[in-house]
Amino acid sequence: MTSTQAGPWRQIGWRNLGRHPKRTAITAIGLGVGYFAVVFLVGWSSGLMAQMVENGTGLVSGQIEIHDTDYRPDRSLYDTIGGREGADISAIIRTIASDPAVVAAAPRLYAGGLISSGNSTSAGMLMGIDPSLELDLTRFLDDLVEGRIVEPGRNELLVGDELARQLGAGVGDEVVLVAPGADGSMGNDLFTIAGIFHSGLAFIDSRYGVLPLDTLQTLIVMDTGRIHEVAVSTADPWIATEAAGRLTAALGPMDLDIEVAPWTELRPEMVEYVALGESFYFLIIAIVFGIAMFGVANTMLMGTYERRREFAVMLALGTSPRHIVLTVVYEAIALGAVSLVAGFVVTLPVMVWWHNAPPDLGWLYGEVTVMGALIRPSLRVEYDVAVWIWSSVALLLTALLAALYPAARAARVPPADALSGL
Amino acid sequence: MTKHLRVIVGLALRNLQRHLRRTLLTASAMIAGSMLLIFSLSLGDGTHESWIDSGVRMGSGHVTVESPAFRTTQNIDARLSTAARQVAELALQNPLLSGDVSAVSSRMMVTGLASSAAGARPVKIMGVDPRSEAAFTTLNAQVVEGRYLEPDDRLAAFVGKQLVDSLDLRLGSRLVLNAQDVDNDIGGQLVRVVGIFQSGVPEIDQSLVHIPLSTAGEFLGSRDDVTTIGVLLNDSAAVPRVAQALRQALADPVAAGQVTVLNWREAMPELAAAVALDDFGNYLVFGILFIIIGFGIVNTVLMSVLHRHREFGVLQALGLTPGETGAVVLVEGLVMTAVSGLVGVALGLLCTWHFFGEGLDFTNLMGEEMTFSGVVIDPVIIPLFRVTRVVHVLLFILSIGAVSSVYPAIRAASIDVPTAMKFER
Amino acid sequence: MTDVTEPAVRTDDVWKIFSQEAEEVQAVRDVTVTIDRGEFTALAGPSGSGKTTLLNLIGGLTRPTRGRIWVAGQEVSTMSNQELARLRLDQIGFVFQAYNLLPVLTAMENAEFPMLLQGVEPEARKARIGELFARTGMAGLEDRRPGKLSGGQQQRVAVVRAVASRPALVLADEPTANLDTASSGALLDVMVELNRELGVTFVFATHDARVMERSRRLVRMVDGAIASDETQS
Repeated sequence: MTSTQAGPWRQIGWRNLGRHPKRTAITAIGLGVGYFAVVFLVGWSSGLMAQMVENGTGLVSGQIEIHDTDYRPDRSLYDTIGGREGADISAIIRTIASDPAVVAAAPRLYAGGLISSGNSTSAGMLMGIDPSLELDLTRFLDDLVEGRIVEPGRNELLVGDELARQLGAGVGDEVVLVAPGADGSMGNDLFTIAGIFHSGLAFIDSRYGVLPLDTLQTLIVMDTGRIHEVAVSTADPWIATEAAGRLTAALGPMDLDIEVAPWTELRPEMVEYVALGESFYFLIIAIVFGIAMFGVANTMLMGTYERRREFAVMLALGTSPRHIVLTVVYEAIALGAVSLVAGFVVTLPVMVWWHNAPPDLGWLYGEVTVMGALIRPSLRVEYDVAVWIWSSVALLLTALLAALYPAARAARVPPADALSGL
Repeated sequence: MTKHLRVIVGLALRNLQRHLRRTLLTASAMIAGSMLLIFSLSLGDGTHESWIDSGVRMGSGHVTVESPAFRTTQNIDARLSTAARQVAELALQNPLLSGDVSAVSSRMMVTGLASSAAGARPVKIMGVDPRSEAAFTTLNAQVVEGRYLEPDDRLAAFVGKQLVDSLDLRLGSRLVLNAQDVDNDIGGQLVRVVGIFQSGVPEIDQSLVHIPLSTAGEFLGSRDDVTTIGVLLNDSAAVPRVAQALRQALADPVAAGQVTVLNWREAMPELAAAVALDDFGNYLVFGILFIIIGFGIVNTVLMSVLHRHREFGVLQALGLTPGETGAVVLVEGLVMTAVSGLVGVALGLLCTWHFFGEGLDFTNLMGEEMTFSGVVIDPVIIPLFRVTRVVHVLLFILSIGAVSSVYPAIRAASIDVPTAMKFER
Repeated sequence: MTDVTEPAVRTDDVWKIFSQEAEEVQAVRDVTVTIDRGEFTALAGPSGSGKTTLLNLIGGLTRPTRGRIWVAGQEVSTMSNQELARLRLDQIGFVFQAYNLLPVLTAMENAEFPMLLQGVEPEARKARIGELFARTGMAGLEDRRPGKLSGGQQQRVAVVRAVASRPALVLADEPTANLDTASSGALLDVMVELNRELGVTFVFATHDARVMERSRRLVRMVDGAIASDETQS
């Protein structure tokens, strides 16, 4: 007995789908929805993660930070790059900017102090920047709520909108900055508010005052050439680690006692969080298709039950039970294929749409911070071709597995019993 | 229609029995889905409760009483009047409320500068009553060195680890606190570090300082005044009730614009957003799952209708109206869904409670400490079961069953009797 | 293999007993009969007479409780299921009362199904079916699906299928029961002609008088046993 008889198995399987178009359609749509669900859910989750990483690194801090080796974790005022003597900032920036992966690099200086306006005094973190370099690096100063960016050499200040509210001050108002200096004195001077920013991060908007680097150095009695940090941005957050290695080597000749830290090192909890999210993807696939399997199994069971006389006839004619099973299997494959097409037809355009123009979900829930990174509410999705492929495989497997039991039952029909009663 | 109700229901039940395997298969999908839903919702609610509890303890409680201006200006001028404070504290002692209230802490909160020889940092200065604050906060359980504030303390400070490191301090070191006082001058106070905490939330470890209320009152000139009254409840579900009661007790000051009563969602919108986002994700997943299950139900019920052409024809010939025939199908779908939904929910509750009642431990997955909207996530999640949730789930399942059965019911109702009787199937 | 000098069917003292709950049903009792090649034989009797069961026993669709059966010289009663399937494929053609054809295959595809299983070449298949369709008045209907054929036409396709694989015999279980008079007559004509021209052996189970009339040999069965066995000239 040949185990592979020639026979119209594929045709029978495929054409059986057409016998009950509505039933096939409903089943296929159910499976197609499952496909869309998996791809979308994974994509949306990836979108949230991507936002977290992008904002966590791109909004204020940069993907790579360079500090003196003693600077972290205390972040003391005195631990400037190159020690107390400082360093050649422009040379450092030039070296860094020459790396192909680097988009921008900018120097920063930090000092805690008090900001007083008329009647109100708030404590703040003063951040000295180079305005032109800073604008290329981070985004939080791009769209100022009011006013304009500070200019080097001037006693000008940018404050967060929360801080402005607390101070009861606006653009053009004068404030007094008081901050302990590096020589032990108490620096204080009059500043004008040039602009107000909104980053979305509460602790930045309520506490940060941004001013020109040289003015801050004057205020806290530090030489030019003394900064705490060079922040660097790379095009893609995920190449930062590799770029950091290159930069360390490139800056080696300058003989500074520095660390070049990518965000993966500075914020390991973010990396963990992304990994945690990704570990759930297979769970989602399993659950969605597990549930879908019931529906497909039911449909196929009913189909094979209805056709038991046909199977009996085929067996009577000498078809081997294996080939009866084969027709059911082919039917399942055909169903899977149709469902995949149905699912794909919906999934592709929707995913493209929600990737490029994600609908806003602000009406549903507000802005959230995860690991200190801002996430704006939207349906933004990210693609991952691997997920699309795995989901397709899962869909076809679902159809096949669901058909196994019905197929086995179909082959076990005793011809005489089924045919009697005709 | 109602006098035939028994007949209709009887027919529906018998039909479900007749094709038991088919019914069971569809029911299994519903049971599995319901179990998963209950499991996920109870874990989600447990997680949220844990977040909220942590969050409000580090913030200003489930319910907060403040002056409306304080939220925006954080200025000492916007502190609560003595009268308002007394009314509020009295109201919270009312036996009707006190059952829900777990702790109350009245604080003087200002922003200021903390400085040492090593530098200066912006900080949030909280003047507290050590006893009531100890019942409120979790920081006293996160002491790394030293101890929390005690009632006899005078010039003591309880400081976060990162702040201590930034200012190069140690246990017993002194630091200077500067802040705007009631006369709009900058007041200063020397304090000594008696305890160091580490919460895991960077913003808090970097910038929070607890000092005794009396000390704050002295150097700020505010004496016994407070800016905020934080109320901690046993269960976040009691929030609306307690907030409402407080608003009523404080009706006059509220009307005069001197006082406002906030719930935690208003006081900590980021936390509220985090909870909403998590819920949304859950609804999304299960919405889709139940759509898939719904399709399965449609198919099953529809197929059983198409197989029973003749039977429905006979029923109508015997006197059942088309509507009643459709009702049989509808009842079938509803009964199947309801029973499997109930079984699934019950099983879900049982299994979740039995296996994970002690908590689901994610420590393997969540190695480092994770923060979400300023709250440290506890890797052990204890499921929370709420009656309202269960009721919602059951209603949801029933509606899925109803919607899925509508189309097949309409098909059943629109059978042409002569045609039906003609075909042998 | 098969010995063409052997009779198409030989049974020896065959019994089929069904045990149903407390009762025992003797569907076929002590049947001994030989059917030669080229015969056109009807097993006749009312329902419950055992004619269908006897047909199923001959066709290897069910096993005898007692006794032996040979089809085309091979002993059926001791064959394994696989051997039986092989036998049905090569030696026996079936025509049932209804539901013969697979609805998703065309008339042509239905008719050539056993030949496909046997591995017959496409040209040979086409040739045989072409000839048989012509003989049975089905020319031009090859690509129709059963849904588009009348009852009589469907049965004719079933007959073509049964005959095309060149079996030792064709077993037909009440083939005319669902047909009107005209179609019954036409179907019978077809089978009579195939029997005469091609020498195909036909064994019917029937209670249709017309079939009994046209059969050369009539085996009457009552309560599972053979009541009479008459051959007409």
